[in-house]
Amino acid sequence: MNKCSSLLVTCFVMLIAPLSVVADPVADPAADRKAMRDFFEKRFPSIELSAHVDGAYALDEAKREQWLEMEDFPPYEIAVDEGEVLFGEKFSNGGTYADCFENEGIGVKQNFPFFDLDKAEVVTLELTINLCRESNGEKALSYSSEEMGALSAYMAYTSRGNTFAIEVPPEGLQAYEKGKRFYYERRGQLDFACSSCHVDSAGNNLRAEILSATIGHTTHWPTYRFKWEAVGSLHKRFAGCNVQVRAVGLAQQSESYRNLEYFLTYMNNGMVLNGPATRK
Amino acid sequence: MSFRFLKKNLSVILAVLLVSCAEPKDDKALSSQVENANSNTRVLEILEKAEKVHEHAVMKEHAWTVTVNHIQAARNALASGDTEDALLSANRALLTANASLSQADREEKAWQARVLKTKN
Repeated sequence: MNKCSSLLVTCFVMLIAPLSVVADPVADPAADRKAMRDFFEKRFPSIELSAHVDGAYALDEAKREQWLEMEDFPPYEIAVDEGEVLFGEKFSNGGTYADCFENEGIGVKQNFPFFDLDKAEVVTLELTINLCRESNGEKALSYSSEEMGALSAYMAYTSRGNTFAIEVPPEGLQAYEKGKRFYYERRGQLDFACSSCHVDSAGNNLRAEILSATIGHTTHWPTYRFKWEAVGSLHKRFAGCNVQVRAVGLAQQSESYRNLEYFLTYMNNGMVLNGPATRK
Repeated sequence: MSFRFLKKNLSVILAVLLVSCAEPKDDKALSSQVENANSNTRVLEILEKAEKVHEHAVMKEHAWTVTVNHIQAARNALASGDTEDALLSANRALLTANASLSQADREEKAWQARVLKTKN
């Protein structure tokens, strides 16, 4: 009897174990991107997908008019100028930021984030700026600092008009999938996922604001937000969103936020980089 | 004789009377102190549980800001001697910490149903 039951258990394990592996979702970034594009084409039939690089300002004509007027004298301009100066300064060992980037750092932001095969993790522009500093014997900058905002604003500015073409190699699929999961997971006391607002409710009003679409979310960073009275990063915005739903936000450049940026930027593939930008 | 005795020992008699009257009051104060100490211990026990669950939720990236607020409120109330309020906040902290962890467990699988899929 004992032999019989152990045989049954063995058979059960042999049959079920492979099934459970098969049951796990297989990441298919291309299919995810197509589904995302199809969804927003259907949801906003009168708006070109490429227009979503302007976020909520693509969805409301009156707000767009006001925003375009602000763009006449954009508040991020000072940060871009300061960033250019900082970018050109030499480190104490004689090295420069330009040495750390392809094409000397000009017009390269559309290549970030990427999956670094050696490090086996997602690498963002801000992380690379700090890695560059550290490899030249300088202290890493705080990700909330004005300097970091200015440097990334300048690098985004030189990349304007370039098109995103983020790749997800087989080795990067897990990081991509983790970022996707973060986007669709409900969290916080309000039990909201990022997708609750920016997929399910995109185009609806949340108090006086219009909720933007997921697609185009990462094209315009860093951004000058009037709420911050400064240029800030995409990860600062992620943390802000988390706190708004009463979830504890994560640290900027944490692995989870980098994975989230990876997933979202892949969704933007084919769209044009238009950062830095201005937002409320 | 007895009057003289009373007069001579009046202060002693009064002191004995006072002490005997005061004893029940001391008992009350003592029992109140014990009660407070018990309540404080209870608050600290609940807080410890809440913090443990909250830390677990932090590790799962599902912690709630309200839990942090309730834990802080309980500590502040305890420090100011308001045990009743401390107990209330500690219980709320435990409640929200447990809810955040439940959410994390539920979302292990639930998120997959929300992913946009291409319709054939």
